[in-house]
Amino acid sequence: MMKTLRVILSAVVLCVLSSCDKHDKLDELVFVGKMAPHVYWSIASTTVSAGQDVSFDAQYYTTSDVAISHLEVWYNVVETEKKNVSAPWVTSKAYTVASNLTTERRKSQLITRYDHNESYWNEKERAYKFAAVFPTSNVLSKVAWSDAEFDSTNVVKYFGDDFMQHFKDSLYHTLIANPDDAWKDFNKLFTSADTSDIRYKYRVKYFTPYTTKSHDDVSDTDYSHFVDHVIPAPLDSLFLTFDFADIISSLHTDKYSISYEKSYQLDAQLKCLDTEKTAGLALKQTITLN
Amino acid sequence: MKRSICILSVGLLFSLQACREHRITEETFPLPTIDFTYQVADNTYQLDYYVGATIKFYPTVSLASDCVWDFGDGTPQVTGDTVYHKYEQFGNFRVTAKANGGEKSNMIMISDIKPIVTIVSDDSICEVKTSLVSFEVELPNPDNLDAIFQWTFPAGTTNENNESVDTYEGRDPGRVKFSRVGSQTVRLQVLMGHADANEWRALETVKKNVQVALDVEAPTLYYAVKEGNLMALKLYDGTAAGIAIDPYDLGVSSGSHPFNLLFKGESLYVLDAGQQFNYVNDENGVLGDGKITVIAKDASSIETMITNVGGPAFQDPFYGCIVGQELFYSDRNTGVINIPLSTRNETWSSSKFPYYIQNNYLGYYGRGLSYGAITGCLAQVKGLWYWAKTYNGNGIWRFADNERLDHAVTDADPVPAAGPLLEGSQCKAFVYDEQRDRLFYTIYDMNAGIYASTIEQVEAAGDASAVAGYMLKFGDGKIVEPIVEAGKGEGSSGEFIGICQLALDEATGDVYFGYRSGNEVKSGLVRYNATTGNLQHVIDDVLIYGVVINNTPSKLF
Repeated sequence: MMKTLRVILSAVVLCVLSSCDKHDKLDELVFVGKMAPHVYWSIASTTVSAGQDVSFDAQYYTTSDVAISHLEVWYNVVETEKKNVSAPWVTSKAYTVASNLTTERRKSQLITRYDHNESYWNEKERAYKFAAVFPTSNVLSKVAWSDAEFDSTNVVKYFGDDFMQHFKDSLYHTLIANPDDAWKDFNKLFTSADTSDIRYKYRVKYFTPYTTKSHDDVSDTDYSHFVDHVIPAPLDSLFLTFDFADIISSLHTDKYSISYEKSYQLDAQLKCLDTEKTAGLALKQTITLN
Repeated sequence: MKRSICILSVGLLFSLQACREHRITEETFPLPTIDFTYQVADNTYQLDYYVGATIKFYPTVSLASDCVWDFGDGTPQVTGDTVYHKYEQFGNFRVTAKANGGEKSNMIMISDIKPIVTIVSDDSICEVKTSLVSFEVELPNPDNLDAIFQWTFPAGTTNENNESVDTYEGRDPGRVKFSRVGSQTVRLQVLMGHADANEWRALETVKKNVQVALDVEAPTLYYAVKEGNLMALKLYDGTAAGIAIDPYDLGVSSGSHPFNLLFKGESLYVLDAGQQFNYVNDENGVLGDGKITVIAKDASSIETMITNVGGPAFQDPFYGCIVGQELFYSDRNTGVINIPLSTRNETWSSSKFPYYIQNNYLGYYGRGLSYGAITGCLAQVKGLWYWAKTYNGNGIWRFADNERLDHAVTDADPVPAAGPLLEGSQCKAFVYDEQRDRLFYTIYDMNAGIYASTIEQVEAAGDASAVAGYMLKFGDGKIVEPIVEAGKGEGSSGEFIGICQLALDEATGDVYFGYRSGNEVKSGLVRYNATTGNLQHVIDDVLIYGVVINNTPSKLF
C-alpha cells in the first residue's frame, strides 16, 4: 500500500515539476526588444525624377503604454553602373567588355521628420493615418550615354583614361590567337560592294592579296584563310592605325557599339518612434530615380 | 508513512518553485565600439552633397574625444569628436574613424555641381509650333565661382520671332518653340571657374526633355525598347508642313523582357518576364524575377501590380490581355492567372492567385495541346478565348469560358467546339480588328511572316501552308521573317523573340509591331498601313518587345 502511495506521489511530483513551468520558446529562439509602434506605408510611385518629391501614405499605431513621438524617413543611395563595349564585326567569338555594378554609395540617413499628431487618428482603421512627401536629390538623375553621342572625351570620362588603348590591345591579342577565325572577322569588317567605300579599299589593298583557299577533308568543302594561316603584316600594321571608334563600329559607319549608364535607387524606410526612442519599421520601399 | 509525507513535502516545495511563469525579458543589444554618420552642415542643398559643401561627421555611438578621422581624399587626418570637412573633388570616398581601439569606415558620395533646369510655359502642354517655353536655371555654387552657360537646342527650335535657334550662350536663352513633336532634348553645358584667370571646368551636360504635343488629337503608341526605355509615339499622318513627329522618351526603363504592354483607361501595364525567360533548371522554384507594373500614361507614376521575385522562374508574367476590369496573364508554359486591375504590391503565390486557365484543364490537352506547351499572346475574340502556343502544341487554341474544366482533362471530356486555328504553326502574336473583321497573326519558322484575313478564311485554310495569299508585304515585295536563329535572336526554339505583340490602331485599321529581323529587312518598328495595304518602316534599328496603342485621341499622352 505504502509502496503504491509512494509511486503515485512521485509521479504527481514529477508531473508538477515538468508541467508547471511555462516555457516561452520565442524568448529562447530570438532576441526580444521593447514593444515598438506598428507602421505601414505605401508610396505613390516607385520611379520619380531626381529632385522630385516622393508621395506616400502612412498608417501607424502602438499597443504599448509608451506614447508615439514622431516618424522619420531614412534612405540610402545605391548606384548602378552599366558599361557595354563590343567590336560588332568580331563574331568568331563574343568580344564584349561589359559590367553591371551595384554599389551602396551613401549609407542610410535621416531625410525627413514628421511630428505625430493625435488628429491623424482614423477610427475606422483604428490607426493614425497621414499623407506626406519626402524629397530626393536633383544630382541623382540617370546618366545615359550611347553611340548616338559618341566622342572619345566621353569614353575617357566614363570608362577611364587607358580604356580605349587597353580594349584595342586586348582585341588584337584575341584576334591573332587564331588567324583562321581572324580571317572570318576581317572578312566581315571589310565587306563592301561600294568601290568608293573605305572598307572596299582596305579589302583590296590589305586583305584580298593575302587570302587563299584550302580544302577541308572532313566537310569536303573549300574554305578561305590567310596565306600560311598567319596574320599578314600589312593588315597587322593597318589594325594598329585604326582608332578606337573604328574598332567599335563596323568601320566608318555612324553606329558605335558602346553604352554607359549610371542610375540611382533609394532604399527608403519609414520609422515610427515612441517617446522612449523605440522605433517600429515599415517595409523598405525601393525608389528608382530618373 | 513518515517517509511518504517527507517526499510529498519536498515535491510540493519543488512544484511551488517550478510553478513560475517564464516571462519574456527585454534584452539590450551591445553597441558597436564605434560608429558614425554625416550630413551636410550648410543650410542649402542638404540632400545633394555637392563638392565644396561643408560636411559634418559625428558619432552615433559615443566616442572618445581623441577619435581620428580619415576622409579618404588624401587630406591630413584630423582628431576630434565632431568634425567638419569640405571635399574639393567629387567622387566616392571611404571615411574612416578610429577610436576606443576600434575603427569604422563608411562610404560617402560627393557629387559634382549640377544645374537645375526647370521648363516654364504658360500652356498646360507644350504644343508643337505654338507654345513658347522658357528655362529657369538654378546653379548651386557653394564656392561662389564664375559660370558660363552654353545651350544647345534640337533641330526645329525657333525663338518668338520664328528665327532658328541652334545654340545660345548666357543664363537665359529666352522663349523658344519647337516644330517637332516628341521628346525634344535641350542641352545645357555649364563651365565653372575663375573668369579672371580664364580657368574653367565643364560640368556634366544637363539634358532636359521637353515633351512636345501634337496640334491635333491622335492615338498614342507605346513600345518597350530592349535595354532602353519605354517610348511613345503619336500616330498621325496629316501633320502640317514643317512639323515632324519624333518618339517620346518616357524616362522609364523597359525592364528585362517586357513581352506585352497593355493599356486601359489612363494606365499602361507592363508585363515583364524578367531576366530569365526560357528554360532554366529552377528546381528550388526561386529564380523568378518578373513583375507587372502600372505606369501612368504620361509616366508620372509607376506602381507595382504583382511581382514574382523569388518565386518559380516559369511563373513570371509573359503575355496577357485586359478583359473588363481584370488582367489575365500567362506564365511561361502552364496557365493563365486573372487579377483585378486594382491589384497593387502583391506577390504571386499559387494559393492567392490560382490558375484561371491551365493546359491540362482544357479539352485540347492530349489532343494536340501537350504538357508544358509554351505560351504566346492571349486575347478574347468574339466571346472566345484565343491562346497562342509555340511549342508542344503549336497553334491558336480557342475555347469558351464555360469550356474550362474544373478538373484535369479525361477521355470523357469534350474538345472545345471552336477548335484551334493554324494548328501546328508557331503563332506567337495576333490581334483582331473587330470593326473590319480581320485577324492579324504572325507565324515563325515554316511559312514565316505576318498575315491578315478574316477568321473564317483562317478556319477554311486549316494550316499555315494555305494562308500564303494573306501574307502582308512591304511595298517592294519584301516580307517579314521573325528571327529564329539561335545565337542571333533572343530565346530558343519556340521562344524566339521576333515579333512579341501586335497593336491595332482602331481608327485606321493600321497594325504596329516591333520586328526582330531574320532576313535582309531592317529590324525596328513596323506598320501595316491599312490605306496602302503594305508594310512600312516607322523607326529602324531599334529592338522592340511589346507594343500597345492608347486609342483615345489626345494631343500629348
